[in-house]
Amino acid sequence: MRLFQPTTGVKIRLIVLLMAGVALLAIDRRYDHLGAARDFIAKGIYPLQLAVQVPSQFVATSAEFVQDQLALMRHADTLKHENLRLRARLQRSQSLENENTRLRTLLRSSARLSQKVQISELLGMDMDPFRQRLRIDKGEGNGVFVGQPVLDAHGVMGQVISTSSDAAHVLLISDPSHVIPVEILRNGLRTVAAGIGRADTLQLRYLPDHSDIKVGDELMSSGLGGRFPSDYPVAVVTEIHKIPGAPFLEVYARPRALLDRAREILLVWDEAATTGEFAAADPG
Amino acid sequence: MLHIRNVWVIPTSLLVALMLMITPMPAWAIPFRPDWVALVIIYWSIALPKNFGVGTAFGIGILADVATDTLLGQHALAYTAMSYIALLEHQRLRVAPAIQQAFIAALLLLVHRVILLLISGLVGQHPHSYSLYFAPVLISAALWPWAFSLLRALRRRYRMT
Repeated sequence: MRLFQPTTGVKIRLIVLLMAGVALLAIDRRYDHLGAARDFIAKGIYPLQLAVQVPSQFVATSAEFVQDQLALMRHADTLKHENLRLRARLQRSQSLENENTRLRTLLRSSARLSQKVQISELLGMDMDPFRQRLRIDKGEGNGVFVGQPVLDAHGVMGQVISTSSDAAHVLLISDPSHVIPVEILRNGLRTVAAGIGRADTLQLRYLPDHSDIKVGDELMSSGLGGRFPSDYPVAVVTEIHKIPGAPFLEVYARPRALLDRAREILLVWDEAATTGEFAAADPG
Repeated sequence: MLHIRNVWVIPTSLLVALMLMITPMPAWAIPFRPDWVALVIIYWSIALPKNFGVGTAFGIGILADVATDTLLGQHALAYTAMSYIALLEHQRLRVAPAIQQAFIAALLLLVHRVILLLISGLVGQHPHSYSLYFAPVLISAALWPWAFSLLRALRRRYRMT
């Protein structure tokens, strides 16, 4: 007794779909033609993405709501103090920046202009050993562009890899396919920090075994490659292994940014980079 | 395709599963997230093989690809293949005891996961550790009996036969 057997119709449909799937994969991998289609579908499922935010946001808001008055006042107090401290530091850095601009004009090199930042909130994240990515709630409509650097309050987080009209995907520096050029704050030694698929670890590649590097060294973005602004904290060296016979050290570092905990992130518009391009295009 | 009542229950359940797939979770829990969409696809494949086909599995796969920003076609291929096997075996699966069903569901989920892994591998994304990569297979299979009874209750409630 056979109630159902795969009719040729089902088989043909299967084969057509499998071929369509493979074709989609190939096109999506090689070309950009599917961006519009992806954007269209993304707009359709955007309400779903917003809806799934509701429970966790509700928990967060109600947790804030039920905090007692005293705790809130204490919280406000610490924030006031911190604000004061930061303002004092800002004044100092303002004068340093002025001095820096003056010296740079003296040296006739391009001045670094101020950077515009915008706060964005996380829509979701995707942290498995393959992919370390975030979804954020700002997109093309807010001026977000592919390749834009993303920071949190502690350091560099990653870069934007795709945008739709009101959301964007961010590739974190811990993604196995991501590498960021860095330099050691102490001595300016340049290297690259690659992600290995874990939010708490980066690997420093191609450091010869006599390199001057210590546990605790601060790694700053070097700005080489032109993707990330220079001199932002990236990571701290945590482990150094010398492997006998191997030409390179095995060095690990812990990212400064709270890659798996941050809720608000900063998008940076590096105006120096754009004016730099203009300057390069027009030497006169 | 036969005409049945309340056919909207199928796409709705798939969309709810898709929402669970992208619900924010604490970072430590994410590697263990069950594959809800796969469970729902397996259920409808064996329960209503005449109304649920590889095409629907492909469509929800495309949505999953956009929602999780994977290559277009990655989830679609994996779900299509998984759904086809479930459709072939739906008679045996439907009458099997729960434990046996869960076991076969695990095999189907494994097929799905391996296809995802192969495609990721082909485009050069290798996982740093494989130990956790197959955790969702076991967790989803363990949840199968509950998913099954929930969806069956839905199907009976809306008298979809």
